[in-house]
Amino acid sequence: MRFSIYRYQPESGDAPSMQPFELAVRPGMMLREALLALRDTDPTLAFRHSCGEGVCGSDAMNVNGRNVLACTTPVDGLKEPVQIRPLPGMPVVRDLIVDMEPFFRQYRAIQPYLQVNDPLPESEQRQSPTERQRLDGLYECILCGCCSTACPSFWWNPDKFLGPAALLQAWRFLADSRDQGREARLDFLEGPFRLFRCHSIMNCVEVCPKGLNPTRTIGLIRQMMLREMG
Amino acid sequence: MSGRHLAGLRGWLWQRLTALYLLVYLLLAAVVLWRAEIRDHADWVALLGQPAVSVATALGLAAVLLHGWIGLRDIVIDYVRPAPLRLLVHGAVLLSLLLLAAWSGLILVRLHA
Repeated sequence: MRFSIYRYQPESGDAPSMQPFELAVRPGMMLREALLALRDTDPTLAFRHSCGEGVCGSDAMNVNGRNVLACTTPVDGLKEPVQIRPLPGMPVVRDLIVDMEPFFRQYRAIQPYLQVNDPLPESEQRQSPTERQRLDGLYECILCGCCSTACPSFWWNPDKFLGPAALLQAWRFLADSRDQGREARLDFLEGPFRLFRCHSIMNCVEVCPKGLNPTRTIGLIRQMMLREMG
Repeated sequence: MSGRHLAGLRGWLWQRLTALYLLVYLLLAAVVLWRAEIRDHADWVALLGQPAVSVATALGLAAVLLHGWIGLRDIVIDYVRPAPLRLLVHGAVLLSLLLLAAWSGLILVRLHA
């Protein structure tokens, strides 16, 4: 199988380029395994990976124009040569490794933890099954960055627009029955940039490897804002 | 929400409200124009001179301009990154829309003069 992989070695001083590779793939092989095999032939090829089963979110990359997790992407059926590039719009550190700091900066900005003003109970803070159910489709996010780096609004304003991943997490805490920081959270999201740069393009939904729907959660935040406004 | 900063939500909400009004207005306008027999300028003046048509059209113009302002503001915020240039383009867009508002408002007012 033929591959064309983005190469960038900052210490060489060369401009980034696409390098052709060839590999005899076996049936059922995942792209991560193919990259590991290619790295055996060229140890300078750099990419992140860890769990190998779509849980850690380390090996997000752009394959034939679409953001995917290499470990959950079968090589069968990929159009050749398979074009592999780093996640779009992010500063490239080396080859397929990008600096995820702009992504995690926006994630940190939404304060992704429960905010409780009341004295904490002696035991656990309980939720009803219905309250717990509201977190389904939210807590599963693995923060791989596929969605935010596929979002044109995030490409244009990565420093101001929070991006779909951070907004999904913002809703995860707004929807949590135990959280008491709603007003401050909604105030933070107000303004033309942080939330309202979303134009419902839905690239995020298209590429999410966990099948989550950030566009829907952004709509739910807007609805909550409308209710709180009245 | 404290209601201190509603620039994002208000803009988003107004864009949708004006779109809804324009949808209704355009559907009604299509029906009215289909049923009215307009042959010349005098017929246009007579149609637009009716108070209901005049008010609906004035609101329609306001809706178009507001909808356009929010949409163009979004495009400028997305694509024009340098703050001074962004401000300049915002100003030019706003001025153009205000001139259009004044011009179209004048036309409507003259119908009743």
